[in-house]
Amino acid sequence: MSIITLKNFYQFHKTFENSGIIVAYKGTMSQKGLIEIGSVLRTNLQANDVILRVIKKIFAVFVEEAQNIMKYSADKKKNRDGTETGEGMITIFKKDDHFYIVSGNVIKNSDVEPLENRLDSIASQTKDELRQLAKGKKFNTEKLTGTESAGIGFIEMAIKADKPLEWFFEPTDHQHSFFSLSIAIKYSQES
Amino acid sequence: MEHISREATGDEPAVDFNPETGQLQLTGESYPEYPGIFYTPLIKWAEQFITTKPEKIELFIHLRYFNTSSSKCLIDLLEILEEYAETGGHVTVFWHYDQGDVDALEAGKDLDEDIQLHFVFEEVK
Repeated sequence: MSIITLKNFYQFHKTFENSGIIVAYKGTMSQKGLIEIGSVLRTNLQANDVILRVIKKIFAVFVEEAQNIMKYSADKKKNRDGTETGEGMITIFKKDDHFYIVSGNVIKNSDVEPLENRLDSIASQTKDELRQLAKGKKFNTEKLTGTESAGIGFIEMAIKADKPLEWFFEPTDHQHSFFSLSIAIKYSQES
Repeated sequence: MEHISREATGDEPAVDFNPETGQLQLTGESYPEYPGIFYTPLIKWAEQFITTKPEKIELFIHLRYFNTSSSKCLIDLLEILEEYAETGGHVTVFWHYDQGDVDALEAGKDLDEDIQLHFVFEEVK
């Protein structure tokens, strides 16, 4: 049941505002949508006097997260042209001296453990190790399978992140879980 | 050979691959959903171009942002040119980056480390 009414819509707006939300999106993520939302995100960050280097980092993380939703969300919607797009959610908000780019989408329970292992392994490595790992994967001439190419995306996000990656799996039914991933980017960066 | 000239779109860089001058340019941002669809024709073009034994090849890259999967395609393109350089071809990569964009510079340096090609780094205003 919807909790949104006209009377509490101001409250709803306040909740967003108090959470430091810059952009929040829930729905199907298409490449077209990504370009548009990305553009809104950049405009909003510029309007908030965020320095270009930080905007670029946030944008890069946003693109990787949005493309992961498009490709790997287990909740797919059929488009008119027969292609499929993933459903999910992305929120970019500012809290204290960091921006957080948080994405969420449904995955199959059978994918939880491999994903958790991959993220654990990324989290246990230093940035230098991650840089070498990303290089090795990119120079590998073999075609990467789906989850592996997402793997590089996670590594690249971890390299850009200013805090360790954080993630959470919330079981939604017997077969599915909601996977949330949070990447933090520091508000001020040395250039 | 065809002269490829394309305008940039929201998620694809502008392309100008000129077989007459041997100057190949990629300018803008690159984060298509399926970079292979965008880059495969360019890589095929480069493969064919090196068989014509051009006097020199100059690749100008000025990408303000490219996503992870685009970087893999860029490496594929650079590796074709590397092959040509290995057989005595003259290849230079001009890596352009916006003034103060240390991350774009670093991305280019990263490629320079692993690709056996002559890289020239130029900060542009």
